[in-house]
Amino acid sequence: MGTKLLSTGIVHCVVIGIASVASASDWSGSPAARAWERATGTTIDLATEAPILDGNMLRIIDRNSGEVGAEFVAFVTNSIPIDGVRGNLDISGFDVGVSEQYSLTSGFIVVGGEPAYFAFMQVDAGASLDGTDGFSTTVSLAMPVLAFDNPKDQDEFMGDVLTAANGGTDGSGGIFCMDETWRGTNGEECCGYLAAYNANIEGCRRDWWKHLWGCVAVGAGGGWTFAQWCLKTCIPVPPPGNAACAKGCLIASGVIGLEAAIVCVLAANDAYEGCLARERAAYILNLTNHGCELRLPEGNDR
Amino acid sequence: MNSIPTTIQSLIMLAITLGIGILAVLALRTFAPDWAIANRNLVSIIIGSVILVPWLVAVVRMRKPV
Repeated sequence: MGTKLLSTGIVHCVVIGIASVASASDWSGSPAARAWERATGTTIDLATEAPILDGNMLRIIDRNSGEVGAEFVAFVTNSIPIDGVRGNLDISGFDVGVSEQYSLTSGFIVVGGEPAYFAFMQVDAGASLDGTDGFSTTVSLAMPVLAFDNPKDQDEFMGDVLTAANGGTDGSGGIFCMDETWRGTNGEECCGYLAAYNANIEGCRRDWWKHLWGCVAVGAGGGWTFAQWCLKTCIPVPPPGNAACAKGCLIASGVIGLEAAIVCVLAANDAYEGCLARERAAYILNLTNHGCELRLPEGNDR
Repeated sequence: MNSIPTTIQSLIMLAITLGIGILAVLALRTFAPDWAIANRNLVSIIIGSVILVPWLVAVVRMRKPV
């Protein structure tokens, strides 16, 4: 009974969470809602119902009674996690742990033998109650937010999302970042600035590697060019002096190549550090301008 | 290697130097990218040394004058 009550409470929480992303009225007229209605012949009233993913079943349950209104066979094909929101409540005598993991999930439901392809905003919400009567439970709410005509379009969409998400995040944000504890003056997501900063730092790193490749060519080419010139000067020298001359040329070529490579890499390092400084300044300015608490990412060079 | 390297031999030297340098960067990029970024100055010495080695090997392998 306690678990059921807790599950119902979690459903309420995640529906409220979903509502902050897209309100119920927004959803009811959306293309995803129309596609859902076409595919299943049913609608979802977010005010009273919640679509819950349980294994390979997507159940539309009544939020108050917990009764199942409709259920469909569902298969998840891909899932891209979004920043989780975690917290703890302190109730005397109990330690209540609450966690939510947001994901953009692709999959299909099967109705009358026909698949219907959707992208779902999924929230895996868990709660545990430690104490004399401790227990834990998890609920997965999966709200259809996009519909696709075929799996190819769905795969392409998820691929684009994954690319975009990876492009701007090291787990701290990205295009989907959500952090209730880090908001700006006007309620904007501050983690977006961190995600942009991380993406720009990645750009600085990529540039440094490009310079490093170039420095190999500079070092090798510098030494070789010197060797070409130097060895020519040894040709008129009679033996055995010409061998010593050539040896000297080769050693000097190696040293010149070494120095050219070192100077080139040091210049690349300077460019990288300049890039870091610019991005860091821009990031701090962004946080300051938007009233965000200053949070600096961890790392050797950040 | 003869007393004075021919053009072909010096081109081979260039190819070897480039090849070893590229392999060194590739190894860093693959196996220790974060370490390389964090130890940038050391990387400059590593790349320089890698480029120096083939020239020193060429010196050692040169024929002694008769």
